Amino acid sequence: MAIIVNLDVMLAKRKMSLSELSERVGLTLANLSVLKTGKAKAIRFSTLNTICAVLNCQPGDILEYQQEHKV
Amino acid sequence: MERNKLLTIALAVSNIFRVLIIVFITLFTFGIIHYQFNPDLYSKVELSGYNFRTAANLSTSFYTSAFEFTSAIGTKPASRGPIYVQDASNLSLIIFYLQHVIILAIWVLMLQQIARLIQSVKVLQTFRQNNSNVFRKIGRYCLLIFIMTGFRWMETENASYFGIYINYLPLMFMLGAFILAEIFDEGNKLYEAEQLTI
Repeated sequence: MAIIVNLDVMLAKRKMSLSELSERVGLTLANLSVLKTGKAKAIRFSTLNTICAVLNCQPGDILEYQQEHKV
Repeated sequence: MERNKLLTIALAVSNIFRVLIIVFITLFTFGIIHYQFNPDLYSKVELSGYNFRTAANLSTSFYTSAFEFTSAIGTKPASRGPIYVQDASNLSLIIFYLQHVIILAIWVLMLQQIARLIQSVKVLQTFRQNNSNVFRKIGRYCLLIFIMTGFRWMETENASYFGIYINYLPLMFMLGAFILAEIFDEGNKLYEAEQLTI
């Protein structure tokens, strides 16, 4: 998919672990791991809202669009 | 009626039918083997028309429309009178037996798949890839039933009977099963997307 999830970059910038984010956001570690590894098919606005609030960032800091290169 | 109760009844009925068909196959096989050793006992068993009949139409053993669509061929075409088991050639009798046993075996397999489907619905695992595969299998079994019921052949001393029969019902069920397989595929994709929505 052309949407890249930069959650790990934001976590590194905020010096926060995934488990700490999981606790503060109220999502399971497994679900956050799915999101971090880019396996998620969709993200709810409510989830994005909570993550942005906890990490004090914009949705664009977590999600990025990259044009796919056709072979 | 509660949904689970209905499913349990459907499951029980499919299991009972499966057992009955297996018992019937066993009895049919036993009858065919017994006929080889004691043909006189089956001298009045009739194969023609709509029924297998025992002596003097007193009782009907089991229903078959196998020779409804046949026509007599050969050098001495016989009148469309009854065909008795003892008149039939061994080869045609074996083909008749295999044809019916294969159809019944396909029914057993189909009922097995239906039971699997009901069980998955009972545990709320309805829209899964397995169920889509189950419908595809049922569709293939319907096609096999269509093929196996598509011809009849019986050879006696005087004539040979052959007929081709287009049985539309299994074809319609096949179409329905394949459409349901596609619907369940879509359902499964939606389920997976829902599972991967964070």
